[in-house]
Amino acid sequence: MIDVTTYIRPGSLEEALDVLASGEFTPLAGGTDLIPHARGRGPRKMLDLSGLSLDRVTRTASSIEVGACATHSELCRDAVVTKALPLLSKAAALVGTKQVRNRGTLGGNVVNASPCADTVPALLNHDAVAVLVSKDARRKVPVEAFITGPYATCIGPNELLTSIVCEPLEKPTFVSFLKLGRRQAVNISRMSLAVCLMMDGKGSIKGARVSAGAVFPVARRMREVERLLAGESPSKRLFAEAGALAAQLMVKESGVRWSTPYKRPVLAALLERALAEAASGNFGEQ
Amino acid sequence: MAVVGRRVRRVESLDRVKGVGSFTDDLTYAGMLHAAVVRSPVARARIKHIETGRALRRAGAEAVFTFQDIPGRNVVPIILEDQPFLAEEYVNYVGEPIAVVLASERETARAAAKEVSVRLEELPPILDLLKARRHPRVHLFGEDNVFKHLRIRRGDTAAAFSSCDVIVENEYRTPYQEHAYIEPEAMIAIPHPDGTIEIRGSMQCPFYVRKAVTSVLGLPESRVWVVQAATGGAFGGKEDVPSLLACQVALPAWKLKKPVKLVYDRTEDMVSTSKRHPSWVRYKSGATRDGVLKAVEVEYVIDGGAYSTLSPAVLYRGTVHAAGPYRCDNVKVDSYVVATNRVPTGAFRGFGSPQILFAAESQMDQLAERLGLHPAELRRRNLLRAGDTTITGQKLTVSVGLEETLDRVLEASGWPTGQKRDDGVGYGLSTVFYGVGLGAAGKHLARTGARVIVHADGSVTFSVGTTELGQGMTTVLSQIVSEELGTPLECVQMIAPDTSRVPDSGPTVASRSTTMSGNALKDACGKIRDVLLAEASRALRIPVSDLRIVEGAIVPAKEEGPSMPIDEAIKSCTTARLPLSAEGWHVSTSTSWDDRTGQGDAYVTYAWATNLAKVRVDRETGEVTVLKMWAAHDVGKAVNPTLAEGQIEGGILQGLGFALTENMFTDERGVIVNPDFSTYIIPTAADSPEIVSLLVEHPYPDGPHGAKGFGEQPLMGVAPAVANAVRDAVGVRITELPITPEKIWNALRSSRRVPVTQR
Ligand SMILES: Cc1cc2nc3c(=O)[nH]c(=O)nc-3n(C[C@H](O)[C@H](O)[C@H](O)COP(=O)(O)OP(=O)(O)OC[C@H]3O[C@@H](n4cnc5c(N)ncnc54)[C@H](O)[C@@H]3O)c2cc1C
Repeated sequence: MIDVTTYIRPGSLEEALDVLASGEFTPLAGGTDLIPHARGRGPRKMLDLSGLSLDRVTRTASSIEVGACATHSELCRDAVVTKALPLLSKAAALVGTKQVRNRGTLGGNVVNASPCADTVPALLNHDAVAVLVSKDARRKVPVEAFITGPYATCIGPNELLTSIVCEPLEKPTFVSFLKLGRRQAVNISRMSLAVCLMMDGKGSIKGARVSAGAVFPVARRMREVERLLAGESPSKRLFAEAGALAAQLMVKESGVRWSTPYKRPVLAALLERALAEAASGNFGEQ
Repeated sequence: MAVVGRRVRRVESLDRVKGVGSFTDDLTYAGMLHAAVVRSPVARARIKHIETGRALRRAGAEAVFTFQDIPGRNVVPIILEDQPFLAEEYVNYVGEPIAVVLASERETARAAAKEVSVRLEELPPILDLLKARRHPRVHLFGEDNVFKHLRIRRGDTAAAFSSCDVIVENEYRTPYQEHAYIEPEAMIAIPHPDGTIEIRGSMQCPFYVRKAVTSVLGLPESRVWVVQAATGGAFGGKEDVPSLLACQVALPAWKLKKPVKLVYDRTEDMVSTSKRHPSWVRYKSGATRDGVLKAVEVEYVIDGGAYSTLSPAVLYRGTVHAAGPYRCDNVKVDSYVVATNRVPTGAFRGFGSPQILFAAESQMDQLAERLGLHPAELRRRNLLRAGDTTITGQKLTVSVGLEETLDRVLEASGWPTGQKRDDGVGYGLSTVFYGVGLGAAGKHLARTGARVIVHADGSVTFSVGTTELGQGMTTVLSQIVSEELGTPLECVQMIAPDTSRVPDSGPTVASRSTTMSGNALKDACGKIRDVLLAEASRALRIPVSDLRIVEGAIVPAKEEGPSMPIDEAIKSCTTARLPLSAEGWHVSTSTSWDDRTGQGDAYVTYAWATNLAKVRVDRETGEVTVLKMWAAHDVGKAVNPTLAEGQIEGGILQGLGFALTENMFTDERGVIVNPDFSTYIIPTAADSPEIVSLLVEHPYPDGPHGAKGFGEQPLMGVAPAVANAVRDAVGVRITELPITPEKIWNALRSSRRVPVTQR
């Protein structure tokens, strides 16, 4: 059972950071990761973030800042996010179930840092930056560097993640998010792929962003694949090559496991499919 | 309008939505203690010593009980009596109970249970069912580790195969299936000062629980009183297991003279309680060119785990259903349930038949393919009709609606014949049958009681010995009572099943509640009707034989004439001090079984079904999407069509889990690897395909209003229908459940029909 001795729900960020300064409290957002894992030996002192109004989405000239406590459901319906960061909306829509999406937050998904966290590949494609605040400091760390390993980040015990800043991609960009699991809901990703194709006026790929979750020990951009795609015009052969390269990278970095004979070709096929799906959006527009 | 046959809402529905209901964990009693169970961490060992000192020193801990404290017999009496209630000298599976710890709080009891240290001398476990059978050195049960061997011998298979034009032979495997009921196992014992003990809990079979408690405590049946609490799903998982829990609370309650509650947590429940038997099947079928099934030879082996529990009965049902719902003159079946060092397996919706039907129906499609016949056509040429004889030599006379279920499915689905398209979409058929009730293996239990009381104000209460598990029995039986007595449905109330109200009525299993309790209630209601009609006859001056009960009134059967509202008849009886209460009793028609030949009238009657699955297979990932399912079931009479359809929909979804995702297994030490819902994948509502439920009614004359049992059948034919559809879709045949993406992918890869490159 959950053995919480102290629970605090501050009404301001200042107050929260004061409490956190002791280094003894664990932040609680939606609790959808924390509470199930808290059974048995969980944190005893919890700091509830729900009173801090950290769920806002704000748009600046060049970026979009998403509050850490924005829930997946909010990411699915927020007008700014769905328009400027459609990939993030798509990823959030595939998290767990309605109930989990109503409680689970973007910040929790990132700080929990599961290799199969669904929003992370989407964030990576947007060069997202985590904003970390403590009582007497504030720093910005790219999400790519923030997550240091499976279930590990560089957040300090006195720090809060307050928001994540994403760069929208220049138009026209076409996206696709694919998730491989074992059922339709409450579905832990066995593999997730986030793809963005930035197109030039002549129908060639100007630049690409490709990230994978649950493929490597830590979700990551596949820049090798992105380089392969850049400057080329979309074709079945190109996408197949990209898929094959991704599969090679997986085996190189994650080693050969019982699931590899299956996952290697499936990764190749799924990436090919994700690229084709994104590209077909492109042709659909013209 | 008749109440039977009407789509009335389940009586509990509103309460469930509102969160009302006394499930076991909602109940509390003054001075109640909580129990936790000390379990074996290993699959096989000799117990050297049990050290309880440290656990007892924990604040709040009250007591620890081991086998030495048992006043009666240390067995859980089910069929063979080989299972100890608490381990004595050996443990034989991971999770086997060794001791019970009591404390004032549940968490304290669980923590203290971890502090009981059991010194064990580990022995190598036997985990594989085929190696266990006739193991040269390790004898877990008898000489050969076989709890039960059954056989069917009919005709001459060797001769018949030599005259067959096509023969198909294959091996099949199926894994555990976990019941995944919403409410885990839970039980409370309350000792009373008069020397009786009350047991309340989540259960299917109050009379089994009573037998277990009387045996462990050494008490007469008159002093053990068992009541079913609201039960949050069972599916067979609460048939025998609650007997064990009841003893785990009854012993400390009896010794300490305090109420004791025990609720398993989910992982404990998944590790230590029964599941569907894993199976291995070798199946050989032969047919002649004209599509006649000539011979079937089956070897069926199922893993019973460490103790036999219900396994002999499970094996019986599997054996009788081994050839599917077809005529076949030459049949040889040898089936075995073996002992291994794994958790005892038991009852699960279908009871040993889904495994064998997966094999049987996969075989039928392969025969059809080899014969160049449509799968529906091959089945049509062989399926059982009235007048035919089953493989056990039972002559079918009435209520054989199998062909109509096939027709209805074909008609509703518009299953396209003609040229197959290469779009990864396929259709798969299965036709199955279900022996209703306990059959010859349980014929000594095939009776039920009921009690009905009509109160002076016209309201009615009734009691039966079978239980509500979510299947809707309460509603259906209330409809039957309302129909018989002419009282409105709202005035009929069922009292929670209780061993003090009706005589031993056997278990709530084998889809038997509607027929058995329904018949017992009809018997009781008939006696009350006699009194009411006699009273009305006196008042109306019309002979009883000319009176009927119609819509709340007693009316003349033929001519116009005076009538009497039921309420008035009841009042009149009350004034006359006539008893409006009666006991009802029903005994099944006889069944038989010859152990040597497997011939006999195996079940009182059969229910019949056809399933059709439409799937899409992703050739690149191997993922299967079930697009739509059609299911037609001959249920005799749908007392409540909505609830019958609910059984079909739920059974299909549970069957899809068995077919596609549910994959529980143990590691090389016998430890279950995935005892939680993030790794044991059951389908969700989002995974449900569109389902077309079709009800076929070929009345069963001995059932109430023609009804047969039917709760299990919807699950039974789902897996083979899906396997057949996968074959139709992408050309691979999967013979081992679940049909995972990996298996399809591997099969696609190694088949010569390499996926055609997509355009
Ligand atoms: C049934 C179920 C299904 C799920 N399905 C999916 C799925 O499909 N895909 C997926 O990606 N995830 C899934 N999850 C996991 C989980 O829902 C998500 O990771 C969710 O985004 C976590 O957010 P939360 O707000 O609930 O985090 P919490 O549980 O509140 O917190 C998680 C961790 O992050 C820390 N934390 C949270 N917010 C902050 C902050 N602002 N600053 C510093 N630290 C913080 C907490 O201390 C904790 O360590 C599922 C979970 C469940 C229970």
